[in-house]
Amino acid sequence: MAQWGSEALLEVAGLRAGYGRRPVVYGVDLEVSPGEIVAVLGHNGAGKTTTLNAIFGFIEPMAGRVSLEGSEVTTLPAVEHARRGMTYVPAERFVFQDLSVRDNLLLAATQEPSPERRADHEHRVDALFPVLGERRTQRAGTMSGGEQRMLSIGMALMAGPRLMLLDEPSLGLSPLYVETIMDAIRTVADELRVGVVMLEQNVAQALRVADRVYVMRSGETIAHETAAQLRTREHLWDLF
Amino acid sequence: MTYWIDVLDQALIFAVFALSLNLLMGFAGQVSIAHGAFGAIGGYLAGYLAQEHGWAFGPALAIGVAAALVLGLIVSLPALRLAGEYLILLTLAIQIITLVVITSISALGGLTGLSALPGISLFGSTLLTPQDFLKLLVPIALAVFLLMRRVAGSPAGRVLRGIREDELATQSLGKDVFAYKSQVFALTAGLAGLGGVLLAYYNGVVAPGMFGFSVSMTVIVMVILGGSANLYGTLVGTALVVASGPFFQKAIKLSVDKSSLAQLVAYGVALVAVLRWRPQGIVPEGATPSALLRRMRPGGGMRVAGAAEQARGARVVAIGSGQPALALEARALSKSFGGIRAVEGLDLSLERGRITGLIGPNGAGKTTVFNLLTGALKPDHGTVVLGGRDITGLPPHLIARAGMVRSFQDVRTFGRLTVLENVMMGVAGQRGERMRVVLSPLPLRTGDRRTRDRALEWLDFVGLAQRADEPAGSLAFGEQKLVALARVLATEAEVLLLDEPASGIDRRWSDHMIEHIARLPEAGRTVCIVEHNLDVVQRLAHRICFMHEGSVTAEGTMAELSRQERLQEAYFGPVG
Amino acid sequence: MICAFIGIDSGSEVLQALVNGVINGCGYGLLAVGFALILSVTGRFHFAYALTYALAAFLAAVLERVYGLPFAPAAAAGLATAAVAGVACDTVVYRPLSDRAGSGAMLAVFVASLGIVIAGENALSLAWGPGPRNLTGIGSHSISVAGATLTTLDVVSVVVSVALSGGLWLLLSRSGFGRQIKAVRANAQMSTAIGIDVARVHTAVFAIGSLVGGVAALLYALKYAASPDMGENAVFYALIVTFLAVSSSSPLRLLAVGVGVALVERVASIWLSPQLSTGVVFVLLLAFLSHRSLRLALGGRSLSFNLARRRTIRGAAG
Repeated sequence: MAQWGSEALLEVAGLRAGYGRRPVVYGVDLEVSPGEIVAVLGHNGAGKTTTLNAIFGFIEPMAGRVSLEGSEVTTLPAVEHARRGMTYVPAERFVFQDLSVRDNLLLAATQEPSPERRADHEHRVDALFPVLGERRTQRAGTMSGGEQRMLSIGMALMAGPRLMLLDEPSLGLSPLYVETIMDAIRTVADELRVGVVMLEQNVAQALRVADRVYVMRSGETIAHETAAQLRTREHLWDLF
Repeated sequence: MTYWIDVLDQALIFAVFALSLNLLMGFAGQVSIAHGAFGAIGGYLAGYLAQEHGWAFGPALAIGVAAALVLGLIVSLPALRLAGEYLILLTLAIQIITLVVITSISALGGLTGLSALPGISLFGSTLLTPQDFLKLLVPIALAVFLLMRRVAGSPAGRVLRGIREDELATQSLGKDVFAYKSQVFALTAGLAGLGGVLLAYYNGVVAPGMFGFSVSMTVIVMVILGGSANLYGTLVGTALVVASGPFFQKAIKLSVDKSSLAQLVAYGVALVAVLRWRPQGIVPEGATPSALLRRMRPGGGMRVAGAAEQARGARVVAIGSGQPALALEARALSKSFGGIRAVEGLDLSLERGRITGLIGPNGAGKTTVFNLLTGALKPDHGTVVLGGRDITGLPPHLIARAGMVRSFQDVRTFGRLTVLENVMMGVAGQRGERMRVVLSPLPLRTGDRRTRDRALEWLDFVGLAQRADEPAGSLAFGEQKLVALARVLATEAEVLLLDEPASGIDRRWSDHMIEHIARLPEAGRTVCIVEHNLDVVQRLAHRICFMHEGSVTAEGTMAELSRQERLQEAYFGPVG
Repeated sequence: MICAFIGIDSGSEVLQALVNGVINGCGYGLLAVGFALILSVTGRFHFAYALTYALAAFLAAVLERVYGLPFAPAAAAGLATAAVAGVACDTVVYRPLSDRAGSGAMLAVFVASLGIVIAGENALSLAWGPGPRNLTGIGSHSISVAGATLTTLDVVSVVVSVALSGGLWLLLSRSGFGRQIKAVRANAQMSTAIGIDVARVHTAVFAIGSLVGGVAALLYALKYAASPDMGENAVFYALIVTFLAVSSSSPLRLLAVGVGVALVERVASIWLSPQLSTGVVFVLLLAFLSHRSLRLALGGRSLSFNLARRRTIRGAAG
């Protein structure tokens, strides 16, 4: 378990959020440390995406606290979160389809002011996903789903983030791509000390690379264990 | 004095326009900028027949109104499946084209129009002065008001409001939404035609400028400013708008020309201001004299105790002997969306009087199945048989009437209707529900009371009877889900398809919901629920169907299914 | 003989119609470029485009004639006012309205923009009369090309339209800010996620769109005249071309569709009166909408049935 205080990258306490007046998430606590991958599992409609939206500032939490590296960001708009080193990759529509791979990556570097670091990030993306290096001028929408997903992770890296929020990175992908993506996420966390919050339906793959796991149901957390503990469970049906 | 009578006459004529537009826009939710054009049809046709062919007022009026009504019916055809911006554009195009066509027909006087309309002779005397016209206009305006009020207050009016709030939900309760829309378009167009005829005869002139885009906008302002979906509000709005003329001329002492410009500026500003700060208008929906009286009566006028006690808990749907054991049988259903096979060779059967669960990983196609079963989508292949009857390809409202209704994952309550009205919408076989109600003189009170009582029973069944008169949109989400449940129960359809009834609500509410759904089989219903929350499914379903990549691949109890490894793989992903 | 049968006097009449079609079409296309940019990037049905359009030309004419300004500053002032007015529509009316209205936002915005048009046009009439007013900018004389007559102003109009559309295309495809605009147009949520200030992009787009419309208005007024209600017709053309072009990504494609529409109109005017040939364009819009409706009917669905509601997400400027 991560310790409180200086170690924690992201701290979420008592989060209550929803749409309009209607709460969908009732009091969620969560924390991530640098280099840690935290998976959030749970059935569809459990409130996982809402939690992520609230953490990133797409929706304003109704109650609770979100802190990034000690400073509170709860009520700030999403743009501010991006500026402070958070990136968010949605479950669907996660690249700019009409633009080329290069334009996608360049855009994603909007928050990176230094050209040298930008070039650095680009090299790293190419190292992680060589296929993107070959397809710079191709329109993102014409690539396969797996390649687009790789691009989305690459885009997340272009701003040199400290925290990555990923919504179902494996959605709609074939098993081979899912493994590649998961491995890449693990590499990013290890080498760059980036903290990762990953929502997933593909439990098996998520457990392979995650450090800790939260399980949500009906807007609340019903379990918080290490991935190792969860892996040893006989079956997972009762968590969903 | 004559000046003010003239103003009053104009207000009465415009009231005819505005009241009918309110029925179309405020109640039925169809935004139309073509009202001026329909007025032009009426005014020009009647004026032409009177001026060039010497027709008397009565027949000319009748033809004018009929022509506008027919045009309204024709226009409604493409409008049926359009909404929002596209509908506005369609009506805008109609407005423009109508006037363009009229001004290019030389027999109608081109840009100057017809200027020698004969007077109206009523019972021997000719109408000349504004005072004379009062004798004609007051009865007509009053008649239009009473007619609109009757429609608006009838069960048909309730359906129109349902269409405004959520067309899909209304259709899924068994209402033929397209029929309602075309009928209300035709009716209101005809009334606009009436207004056009009156305007023409009053001015003695028919000119294109009388029915242009600004006029359509002016009538819209009357409706929105006064209060959409409130006919009394429309009277207020019309009065204010028409009074702005005298205001600018007398109080601010502008010339007549400048005053008409200033009025239009005021209308535009008023429209933006109302939309921005008071979208419900001056007199909001529901603020009618009868509603106020009802609220003042002790107990709010609800009679929960008497009606509900009799059928405490449920109204048992009779299961006759000799009916098939399978309430619903779907065979080999397939549906593709542009190359993606959402549903492929799907077989699904629901045992009568049982709860069947439908589960599967995300993207397996569960909601698509519901859409196919209820007619919201047409299957590419396959059949759906309901209680022995083939219902494949029928539209949603007919399937609902045949005995299968669904609830929605995102609830879709009619927010601006009261909780009770929501449930009343579901009650089957209501009298006065068709638009024909405008023609029938029969009282609607007794029929509606019966509907109210039935609806209250169902509301009581889900435990929300005390919230009956509150607007549904003000309830908590969990409560709205219960209202939606009561609504589908009120249809007395035997087969209920519940789409994620327990999602988006916390444990306390989902327990409530489970409690109510669990009681449905003993009331004779057959239920199928789609759920992602496996805990809920396990507690409710007698039998569970597992859906994966477009078809049902396994059936059984939760225990049986969870023992199968390949299902575990499908649901949670292949273990590495 | 065929010509006589279908009522055309000579081949030169057809050529003239074609030439006029291209000239007018560039105007329609330019109109659509500004309108489509605003619609595709912000999602707002900015009917008040009619007002910003009229503002540019009418104000320029007033400044020229009533206050004696030379053409260039008058035109510049008109364009600047149009840009400011366009931005004001968004910040003062559309944004607060759509924040409040939730799912009914697009409709409320449309109706509000209708109110803005009515108020604005009549305010202009109140202040400076209903016009029409002439705009004397640059001299113009007739020229003859292969038997068809046109003016130097026509040539200038076509060149300006093409240049402006091309310039916008360059901005979108080559510059950093243009990339941001395209990003917001494609996916507002992702744009926010990567740190683009969507509100700022919206403001810029409203300004650019209004400027483009303003230029189209000036070109029109130079040839004909300016009046407060000149925008009503113009915005209908903008709408028609935008919808017929379907994909509103490319300024050059919009220009082409604009020319197409104008050609239909010009050819129709060989047989029909000018008024009716304008009506033909609206019949086109009507046909488009009916076809849409029919296609939905055959597919068993309807534009009002969205089977999955969208949620409001901050920062996506919905």
